[in-house]
Amino acid sequence: MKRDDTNIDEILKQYLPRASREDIEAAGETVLKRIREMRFQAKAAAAAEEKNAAKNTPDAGWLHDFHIGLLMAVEELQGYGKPVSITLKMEEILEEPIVWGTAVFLNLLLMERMGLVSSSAIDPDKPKELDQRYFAITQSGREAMAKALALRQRAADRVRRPRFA
Amino acid sequence: MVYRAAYSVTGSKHDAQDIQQDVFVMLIDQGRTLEFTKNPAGYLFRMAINKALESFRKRKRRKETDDGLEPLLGVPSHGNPHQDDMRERLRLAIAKLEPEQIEILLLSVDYGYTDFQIAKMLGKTRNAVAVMLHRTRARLREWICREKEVENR
Repeated sequence: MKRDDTNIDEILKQYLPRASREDIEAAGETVLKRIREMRFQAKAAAAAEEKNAAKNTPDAGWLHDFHIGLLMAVEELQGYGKPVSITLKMEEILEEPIVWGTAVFLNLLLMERMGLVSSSAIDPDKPKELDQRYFAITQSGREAMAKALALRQRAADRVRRPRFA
Repeated sequence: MVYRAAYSVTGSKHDAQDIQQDVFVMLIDQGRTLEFTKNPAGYLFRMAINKALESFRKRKRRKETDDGLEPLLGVPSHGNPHQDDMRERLRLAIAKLEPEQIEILLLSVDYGYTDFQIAKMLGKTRNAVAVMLHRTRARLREWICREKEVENR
């Protein structure tokens, strides 16, 4: 039998990633800055959202299962959903694999334009990296989702109810 | 501490920063929980490891069904394929461990604490820590060797 000569301590010593003091300090500063910015952005976004909600009543008729799953995923992640984690959450909710992650991403951008979701940069220094943003559902988004679900429920009830009862 | 633990598990500066941010934002939102008040350092350390594991597994899963949305960011290549390969193998093996095993492993290997000190920190017996460390090392060795064998076939 071949002897196992792998020295795990040597491997750990040599290959376990170790952060340098400089990296740790730099990361601390960056994260603190990001959190401060994020909190500020969140307040501004909430104010803008309130304004928009007063103006718009969302139309829920166009929302398909995919869109509802997307809104539910954003809501479940409570404002900490990135496009990738939202996609994974959607897979959980819809119980099927999302083969085209880009569709999720594009729909998020579309929904943001419509005021159904809002987003803030994870790293304020990189506001243009669209896949590095946290997405949160807005009040309009919640209303649209509730309307779409109610619509589905009504449709399902009509199908179930005998026509000449 | 949060960044250091997250970096050791994910091997990515980018991910470690995101994890550090997530942990602190969650802490701000949740307020002080009983668990946090009892042992703040231990709570943050465990939270960092849990988040790092979650992030690493998601990234791995994503990589398997990737459609190009998210490339592997911040995972450094050191130019030597053998070393990169061993790093990756070690990361994959660590990701298979339980959070508690990773916690003890990092405290021992990265922070250099003795079994006795770790036992005191985690409220365990020295024996339990020593046994767990021994088993963790054995599992890592086994997984790394298995990968090697598969590769050599």
